[in-house]
Order: sequence, then C-alpha cells, then structure tokens
Amino acid sequence: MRSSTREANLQALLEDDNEARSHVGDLVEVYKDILAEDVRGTRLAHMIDAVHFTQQTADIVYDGNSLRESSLPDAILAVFRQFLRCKYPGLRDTGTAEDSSASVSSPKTKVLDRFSLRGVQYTTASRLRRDSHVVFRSPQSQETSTLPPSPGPGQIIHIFLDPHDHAPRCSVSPGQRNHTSVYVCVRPYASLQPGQEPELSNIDQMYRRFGFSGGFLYRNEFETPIIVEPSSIISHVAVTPLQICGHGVLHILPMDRVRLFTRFAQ
Amino acid sequence: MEAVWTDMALTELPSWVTKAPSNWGTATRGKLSANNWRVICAIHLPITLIRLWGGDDIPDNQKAMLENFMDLVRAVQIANLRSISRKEIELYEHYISRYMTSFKSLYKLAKVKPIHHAALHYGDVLRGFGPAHTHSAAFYERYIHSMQSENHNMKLGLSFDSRSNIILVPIAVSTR
Repeated sequence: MRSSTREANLQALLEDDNEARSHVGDLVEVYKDILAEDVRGTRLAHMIDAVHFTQQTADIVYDGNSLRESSLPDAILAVFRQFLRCKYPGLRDTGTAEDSSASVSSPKTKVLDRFSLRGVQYTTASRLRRDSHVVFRSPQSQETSTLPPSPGPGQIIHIFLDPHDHAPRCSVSPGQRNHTSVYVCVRPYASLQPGQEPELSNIDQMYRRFGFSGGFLYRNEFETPIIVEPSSIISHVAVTPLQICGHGVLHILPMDRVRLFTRFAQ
Repeated sequence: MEAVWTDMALTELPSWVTKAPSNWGTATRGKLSANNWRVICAIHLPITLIRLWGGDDIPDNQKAMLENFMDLVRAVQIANLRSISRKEIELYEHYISRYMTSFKSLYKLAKVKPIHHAALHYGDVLRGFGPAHTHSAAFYERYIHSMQSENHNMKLGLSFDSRSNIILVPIAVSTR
C-alpha cells in the first residue's frame, strides 16, 4: 500500500512539475518501463502505451557491439537490390552517378548473428539452428496478389544492416530509434505440390484441419532466399522432418504466443 | 509411444521451449512437470497423433479420441496466450466445453475432477483478469523452487542465512 501511494505521488509530481522532470529526464523512461511491467502482453498495455499508436517500427533490439563487417554473397546482394527497388521505387540502379548512395554496389555490410523481436530472440542458421526457423509474411506474395500476404515458414540465414542506410530517407521522429535498416534474409521452405503428391496433400489437410494447433506440411527443400524486414517475422516454428509415403517432408508447427499467425492467415 | 518418441527426437524446438524428457511415459522417468506435459501435449503429440489417427481409414472411436484431445490442446493454447481478446475467450469456452462433453461419452469410467470443473470457469477468469501470465502462479512456483534449494533446519524463523536475501521477500510482499 505504501509503495503504491509513493508511486502515485511520484507519477503526479513528474506529470505536473516540469522542472522536476527535467532533472530526472533519463530516469523517467526507465521508470515508465518498470511501471508498465505489470501489464506486459495485455490489451491494457497496448491501450496505455502511446508509442503503440505512433511507432510503426517493430520492437527490435540487437547488440551493437556484436556487429561485424562481412560480405554478402552475390546472390543475396542481387535479391537485396531487388527488394530495395520494390521498397523504395525512386532508387536508381547501381553505378548511377546522380545518386550513388541509393544503390547497393558493395557486398560489404555489417552483419549480425541474432536480434530480439518483441522479446523473442531470432538467430541465423549458422549461429543457432533451432532459433532460425520462423514463420513470416512474404513481401512477394503481397505484391503479386490483392489478398493479404499468407504466412509461410523459412529459415533465417543472414541478418544485416543496410550498407547505405536508405531508411533515413523515410520520415523518422526526432529521438525515435529507427531500426528499419535491419534486414533478414530467409530461405522459404518449398510448399507441397498438390497435383504431384496427393497422399501428402491429404495428410497435410489432416494437420490443417486443426488450425493453429495442428501445423502443416512443407517439402524438405528450400526456395530462393528472399529479404524481409524483421517486422514481417511472426514467430518461431517447431520443425520435424518426417518420412511419409517415401517422401521427405517437414512438419511445421508455429510457436506463436500471441496468435499473430492465425490473424494473418485468416 | 515408440512413434511419438521417434518424432520427438527429430523435432527442433526454439531455445525458449524446454525440451520434454525423451523417455517420458516410462517408469524410469517417473513424474513430469506441468511444463513438460504442456510441451508434450501441445507440440509432440499432435505431430504424431494426427498423422496416425487422422486418416479416413481409422476407426471412429480413435478419430473421436483425437478430436477430443485436440479440443483440449486448442483450449490450453488459447488459455496460455500472452495477449487475449474476448473472441478468443469465447473460443476457449467453446473448445473446453466440447472437450468435457465428449470426454464424458468417450471415457465412461473416468471421473470428472475439480480441475475439469475449474477449467470450465477459466473463461471468466480470463475475462476478468486478462492473459494467464498476469495472474498465474509460475512466478511463485519458481520462487518456491529457489527457496527449496536453500539449506534450512526445519525450524521456521529460528535461523537466517546472511548470504541469502530470502528473509527480505516476505517483508516486501507484506508492505505492498
């Protein structure tokens, strides 16, 4: 009771007294975080967290000290160029003298092994395989269809920063940390071919009938890597390689604790 | 069980999911923790059981058992979401109610226990207090575990280990 009263008094003091607030400006942010701890993950937290309405960037955290200089493979670089052209239609191709910073001419970039998104850690396959399996919204499906992008599973193989940091061209509020320059390279798993493998499709339907609890089947093969923003990642998945009717398939079960997967899949 | 164990060994789980013992269900392993049961029921059993019991050529009784089990899995998963809406609470109530109804017809000798009754009311708890993690006992269970690992002389209040801060906690709790 005493503690709650003190907290209430302190909140009122910080709210009303500008001078007091200016003296403890650095502490206020930490204090707000601690106050919000009791409502983490609740609807109330979203309602009282004003940042939720203004900040469009995902909640990403990474260790700046673990950034290291590395070269992206040519194939990934080409996919990244394509991604940037779609994201920033005004960008010119490599080598254009007018705006050389807008292109991605060098494979050198800063890479990461892991980052944390909405409090969950994701890593590259080379760092920790089990934390690299994800379900994500593919930007490609969004471009080619009028329907909302359907989530698909894949494996994170690279996490890197935009070498030329195109993101500041977007409007960013002063003081707001902008993480849009973090990109994730994902190898999507290949989906089943219903016409070619009817037995597998039947078993896949058996799983899908149970919705978010049953999971689904994918082929144990990768498609061409794609680049996504971290905010496109929905959750981790549990991956089980199975042999069904002589075919090697993967059972994918989303480990989504906020049912984002279901909301996007609808 | 062999099929479940085989699939379990192949499943790659994220690092934040605690792995269940590979020999669960045997006398050697003994009792499982609540979290172990949750991982087994929500992840490992659906992967194997749907494949084995979900086909058209499976006897009706087995199919009904699978449906019944999956109703429970869905209810537990919804009840453990970190963020929950009224619609999801209604979904929880739908699945747990269907689970209990078919449970009574499928397992006629099984007794309905107080936990089953409580589960039918858990929708009201979610509606009133929000997601499970905001009011679940996991924090206190962890704390009890850490206190149980301390040396003690079975005489409450007569000894205090100065290296430990456990004595501070009851004071802090009582003042809030």
